[in-house]
Amino acid sequence: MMRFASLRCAFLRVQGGVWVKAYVYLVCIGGAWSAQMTIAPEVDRLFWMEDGLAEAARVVDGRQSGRKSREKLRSKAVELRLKGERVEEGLLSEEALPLGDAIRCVELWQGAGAARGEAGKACGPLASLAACVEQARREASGALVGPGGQAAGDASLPARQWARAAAEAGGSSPGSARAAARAREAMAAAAQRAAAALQGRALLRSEAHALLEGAAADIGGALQLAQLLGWLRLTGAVAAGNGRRRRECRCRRCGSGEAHMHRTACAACGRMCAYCSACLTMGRSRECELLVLGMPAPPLPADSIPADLHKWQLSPAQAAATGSALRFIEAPHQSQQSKEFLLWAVTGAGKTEMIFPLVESVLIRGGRALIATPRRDVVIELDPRIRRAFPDARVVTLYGGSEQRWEAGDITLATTHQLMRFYLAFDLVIIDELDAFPYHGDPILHFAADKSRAPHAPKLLLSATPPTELQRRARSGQLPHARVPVRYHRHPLPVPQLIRTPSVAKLLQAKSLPRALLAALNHSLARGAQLFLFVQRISQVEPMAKLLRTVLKQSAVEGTSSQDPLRADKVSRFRKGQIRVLVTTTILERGVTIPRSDVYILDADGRLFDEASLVQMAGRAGRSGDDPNGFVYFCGRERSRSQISAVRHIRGMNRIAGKQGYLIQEGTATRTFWSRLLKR
Amino acid sequence: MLQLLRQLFQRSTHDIQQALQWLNTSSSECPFCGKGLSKTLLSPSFLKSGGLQAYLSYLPSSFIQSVCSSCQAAIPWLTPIKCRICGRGITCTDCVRRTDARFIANRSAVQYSSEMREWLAQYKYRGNERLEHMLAQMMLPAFAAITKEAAFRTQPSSPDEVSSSSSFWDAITFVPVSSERAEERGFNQAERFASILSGYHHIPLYDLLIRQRHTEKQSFKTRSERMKDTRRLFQAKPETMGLLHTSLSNSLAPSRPIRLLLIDDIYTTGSTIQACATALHEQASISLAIYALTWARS
Repeated sequence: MMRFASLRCAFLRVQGGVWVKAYVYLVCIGGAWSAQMTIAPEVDRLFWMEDGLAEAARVVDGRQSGRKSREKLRSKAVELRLKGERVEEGLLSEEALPLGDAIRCVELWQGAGAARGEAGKACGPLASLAACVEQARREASGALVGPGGQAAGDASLPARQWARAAAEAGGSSPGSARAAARAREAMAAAAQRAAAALQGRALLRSEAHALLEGAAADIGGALQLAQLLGWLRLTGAVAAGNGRRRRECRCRRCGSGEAHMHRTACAACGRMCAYCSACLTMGRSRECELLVLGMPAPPLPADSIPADLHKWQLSPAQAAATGSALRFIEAPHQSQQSKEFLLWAVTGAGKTEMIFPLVESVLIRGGRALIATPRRDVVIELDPRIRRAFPDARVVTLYGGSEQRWEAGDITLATTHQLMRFYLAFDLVIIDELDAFPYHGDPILHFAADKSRAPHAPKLLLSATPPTELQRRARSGQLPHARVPVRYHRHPLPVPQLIRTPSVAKLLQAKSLPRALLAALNHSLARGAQLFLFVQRISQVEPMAKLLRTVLKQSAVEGTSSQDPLRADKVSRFRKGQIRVLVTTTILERGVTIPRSDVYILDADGRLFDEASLVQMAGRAGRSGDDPNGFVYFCGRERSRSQISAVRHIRGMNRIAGKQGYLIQEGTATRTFWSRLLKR
Repeated sequence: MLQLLRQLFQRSTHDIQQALQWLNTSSSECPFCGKGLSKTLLSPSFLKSGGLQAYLSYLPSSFIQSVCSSCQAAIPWLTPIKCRICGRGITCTDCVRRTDARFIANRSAVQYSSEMREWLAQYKYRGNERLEHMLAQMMLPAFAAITKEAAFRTQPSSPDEVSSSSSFWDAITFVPVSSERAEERGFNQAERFASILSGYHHIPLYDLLIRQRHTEKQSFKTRSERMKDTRRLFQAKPETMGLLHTSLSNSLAPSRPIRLLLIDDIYTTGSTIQACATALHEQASISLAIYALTWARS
């Protein structure tokens, strides 16, 4: 038994380490030469030259579904080998190349297939490969590559013959032969496990290592075998763009171009090497760093399963919009363009409840759904609601520092940054609060979101305040959409009122509030509401809280901002009603729902508050059915364009809601109001 | 007419200033916190006391201009120092107790506060190499201080003579990392710092040491094994040591030791510096005066 174990170790211990370098090799099979790249040459030697591994791989491969997509990635030589063809000769280059060069070299070899036919006969396959290596090197070092680049034929490449060492494994004794066979089966199984775990992923070397921890004894070998068989792809994390100039690099993970490339002398690959500074916070993506791309998710059956919308208890407006979104995601799609759907739902419309039926539809068909949002707070708040709605599904919640980082689930809930680690993974991508910082206006997050979506998958965009561009496309009919103009409780949105006040800076200086503002604040407190008070600057938060404490004679006044370490604690105390007045910045413009609340926006004419921001902040009021008519005040010196558009936006939504008959009739509303008052 | 001209002139200078300010604010952000640099350029309010001001006069203007004022204010500069050996800000019992020190003194640029830990991690572990120059520049005031200190130790009579020129040092070298680590990280921070400092002061940079192996599995070893390990961790390279000797043998006065400045990122207990110094002394055929300059003192 001991002997078996040690033998297995000997087989699996192949070219470990950090795999920033790779080797190229040639095999002659079926009368033709083929070039390959490897990060673990011993695995390749076993596959090509020895018996057992290719057979074991074929058995494992046959058990998997989705054979077509794998076969596309496999070279003809591998296909022949899997069919049992024997290799005539194998030549491994002795010198390790930087990963990017090795990959490029194989590309060049494949690209020059026809041309090589002639030249190859003259000078031999090794010389052709040497020419490819030479050109890959030249390209990487920045030389402009002309069409004549291939002509340099005097390059040579030190290489050695691969031995067919059947005797090495001690072929004489049947015991050790059995052990060797078992070891090869284990290798194929490990490669298959690695490929399965990496499906839909885009991971850097260290991340793949962390994810596969325990899945394989030799992770490099497992990855290499999986790549050879077309079960996954190994590339450089930063690689040349499609242009002629190889030095124009692009980050494969976040899509950033040359502007974000930073070149330094690299001790790993031994030359100037670019890294991407745009996605540095997610681990360093660089030229000689390995990026492992898993297989895409297989397409879902397009058939529609009659959804039971009733069980989600949606309001008429919610049900109508959800119905059309559902029809959209279940319809078979052809072109890339038509796969986006905008769900434009006012603040407090109950967006989360509306996505449940959509997620369910994907889960029933055996797919994976993603709900992504730019804000970590929102992710953490959504987590328990999703788990409650789908008690039987595996829910994985991802954000910076999440424990579930390497798990795979049916429903993935993530910040948009986490999407960088996915590749063609999800059958439905839902982006919530798409107009929020940092997703809005950040090209790398948009790239990551698109990259995470499987080729067939629809993308659903959710917002109360879509960016102008999306609004325009929706209006002109280019973007399929559904609008939910009313809150789930069917009362109109509170329309903001204007109070003329001096600027916050002046108020803080004078240490007093204008009478009108003070009266409104006191009225709000008297009616038992909790107050949101928004200011523009973080530096004004604490002074304003202090001022309010004295002026309102109220001790339960707190201030919080993005730089407050106690923010989570204060927000939860505000939710519990222990804080009456919360002074804050736009950081709390979304996500926090307080049943009975009024909203005061100071310096509403300031330039940091745009229309979307004002609408979102105003949307904090009147969220509950028990108190649907909260108050919203825009306090400022003048009525700015943003304020006017925000009020127009809110009024417009109320008007549409009225026209479509979604609003509770005013009469009934007053009646319930009086009846509730009388009940007290 | 003259008045009109003057007015025009004033207008245009105002415009230019505005344009410059606009350029500054729009094009640059602080490398450490990522916030824009607005209006902070001309307000060095962080310069508190006169002593600190003199110390920080060795900071290059490019550093002051490209780091925002709140980040600059957060730097816990290690001055004045109390321990003349290890360069700590407090009196230090370690150094009093140590009798076998193979290096003469260490100076560190900053205290290893949580902010500094974050900055170094950004560079070292996250791999944000844009910070490299900033971090190395932060060592320049401490470099000036240790040069003055060393000059005073060698020639108490006229220390200014040598310290004014950076020709005091014969060579600058650095604490190596293992080849695995270098491959994984892509760079050796100590080597980068040393190379930048050598460039600033035109001091020849020598690659004198090799690190034998990983020390990761230290936790599995007993204390004495560990001590032995750290002691043997470094070895001087005979070839480059030989090169150092031959290049200096002509210019060096007899009996004057080679003045060597050893660079590292963090000084904690001094055992790394001690081990490096021991290895250097072992390989050297003439005497060495080894000083250490580190980025942070923890």
